[in-house]
Amino acid sequence: MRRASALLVLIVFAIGAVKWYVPWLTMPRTVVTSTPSLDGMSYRAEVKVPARKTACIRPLPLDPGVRQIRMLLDVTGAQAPVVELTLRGAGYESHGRFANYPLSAATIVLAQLSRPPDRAEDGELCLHNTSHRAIGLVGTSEPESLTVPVTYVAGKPAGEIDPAITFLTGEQRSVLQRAGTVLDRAAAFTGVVPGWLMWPLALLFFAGLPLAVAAALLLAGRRS
Amino acid sequence: MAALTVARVRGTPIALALLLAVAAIHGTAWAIVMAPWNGPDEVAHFAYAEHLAETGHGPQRNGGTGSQSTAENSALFPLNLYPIRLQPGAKPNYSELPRTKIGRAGELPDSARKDGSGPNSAANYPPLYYTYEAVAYRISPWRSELGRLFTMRLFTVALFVLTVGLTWCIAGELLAAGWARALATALVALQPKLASGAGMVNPDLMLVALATGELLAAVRIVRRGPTARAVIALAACSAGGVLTHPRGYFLVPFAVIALGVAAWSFRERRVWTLAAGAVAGAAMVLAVAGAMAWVGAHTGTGGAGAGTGSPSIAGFNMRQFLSYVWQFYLPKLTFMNTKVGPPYGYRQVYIESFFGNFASFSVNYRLVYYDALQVGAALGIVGLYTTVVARWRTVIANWPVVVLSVTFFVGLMGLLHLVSYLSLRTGPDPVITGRYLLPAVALYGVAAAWVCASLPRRIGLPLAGVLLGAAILLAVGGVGLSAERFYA
Repeated sequence: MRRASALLVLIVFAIGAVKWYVPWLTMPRTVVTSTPSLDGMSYRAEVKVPARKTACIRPLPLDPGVRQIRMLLDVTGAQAPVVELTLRGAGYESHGRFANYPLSAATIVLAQLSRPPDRAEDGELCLHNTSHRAIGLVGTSEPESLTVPVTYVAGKPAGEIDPAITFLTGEQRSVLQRAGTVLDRAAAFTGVVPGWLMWPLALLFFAGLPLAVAAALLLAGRRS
Repeated sequence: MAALTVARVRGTPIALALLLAVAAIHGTAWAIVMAPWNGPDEVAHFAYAEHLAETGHGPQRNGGTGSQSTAENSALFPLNLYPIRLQPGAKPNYSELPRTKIGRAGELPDSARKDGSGPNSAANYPPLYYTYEAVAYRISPWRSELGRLFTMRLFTVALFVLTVGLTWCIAGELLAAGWARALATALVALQPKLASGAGMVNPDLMLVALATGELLAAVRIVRRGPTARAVIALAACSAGGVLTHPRGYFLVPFAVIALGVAAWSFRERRVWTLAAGAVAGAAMVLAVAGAMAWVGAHTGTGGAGAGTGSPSIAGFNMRQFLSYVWQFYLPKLTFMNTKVGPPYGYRQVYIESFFGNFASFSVNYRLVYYDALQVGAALGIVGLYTTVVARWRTVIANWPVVVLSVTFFVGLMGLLHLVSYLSLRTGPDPVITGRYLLPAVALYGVAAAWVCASLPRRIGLPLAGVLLGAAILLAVGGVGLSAERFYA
């Protein structure tokens, strides 16, 4: 009976892992490289960019993985204004545009960059409003959510409002496909654990926990 | 002494050693996958310990030169670790890490670590846990802010392992079957919220360890009779709890009740128990005075209200309080007014935030899993009730332990409900959350194991296997969710 009970620990875990973990691990997801400026949790605020004016946001963490930029725009009227984007770093410049998007108070817009950054460095994103109407770059002014980048409109600081920005790779990949990246990042942010050690640690965690618990149940049972 | 230690280690049952290893692995996994400073209030708790380690002084709640040190801020903001805490979709700035000054050798002057003198929202906490973490900070072989934080997190993991060991001892006192003892201990080692708390800098885990230690001492005192060693342990845990956390105050009346039950049960030792109790009481009073003095000196309140960190009790309305407690657990009755505060009760505290709501509430299981946990908890409560009824003779025969267990849990919850009610009368914050129940986590494990052990063996043992399989699924799943949230 003790042995069956210990085996049951492993069977329940295995069945649950197949039923819940496998779909979760293999489900394709949008790959985010960074969220240098955030949307609001409780309330939103926006930076107005007047007609024919340019807003620049800096410093932003550029990364060779960045292929797309996602933001939130507040636009009214009949037609979606075209917003020209320029992402630049030292010796690097790339372009994209927000166009043909639905209009609302917080429309999610996505732009493809002409080329990814050459290397990881701090850079700047400029958005030029090509239309005759003002547009709003939606984000937040919540103190808890404010980030390092500062927004300048026509060269002047726009105040304590951060427009939401997400850098994407443009790929859809599963957690399993990105396991190496996940483990490397987790290790790096401990400031201590070397990346190579993460694989044995992950194995110890995933396989060692059920085996140790089952063995404990088995061995403690012997003492009863 | 060394020989004694070696003998003790050798004498450790293999099952216990395995479960301690499970706790160590589980807690360390959380320390790795939770982004730095993303535990609840971890920014403030780290800042407190860092300031104590660097200057020998605690930070101020209402004054000072900065909530965090320049060194902590140098990592917090460029790496985006501060703003993402409450936003589930937000990520750290991974590519910034090599370029960020996180306090590696020569990057920042020594003064950059000394200027986090406040205002610090944790400054109204007593200093014991922060002293413990200040030692970790000082002896950390890794000198960057991230490296020191990780070392401090591992020190909290050690408190988790200690809690699991103490649970094993409590279960050994109360459960006859060895497998039931392992089940109780394993449920605590696999409790996902407890392990996530171990993977961060937060005094909750020290309070949990001390509360579990006090529970063990109390159980031994009422079962075996009061001894000098057990009374010292009881008083030390109680005083330690008071010096660790404002919520630790419930341990003082619990210790008094434990000694009272012992004095009643062991009449031949009544005089000795009362004398020992008086000495223990003096130690606890000293601890309370010390905690209040410390808090007063760092909040500018002179210690007023330091006991629970609670708002004023003025205007307390018993009828309204009872109505609030009733509606926390059960539907409102027709003669009751709607309870104060938001719709927040049993499900949110006993299920969602006891098992989930990781990091700063930004990592969660899917709602359907909370539904399953709620159903499981309901079945567990029915099972416990049925076991009590079916084994009432055993319950009556062990009344001192029953009184202690009920007193411990009701005392903890009574304090939490009182603080929550008083807070809700003046604002929207219910204060109470699932991790505040963790000081009673050993009772959760032992109760589940007692129900299983009371069933026929052919049912109880397989049920234990199923429970543990499900507990591992939750544990591994929680760590995976956190890794994905922060690093995918």
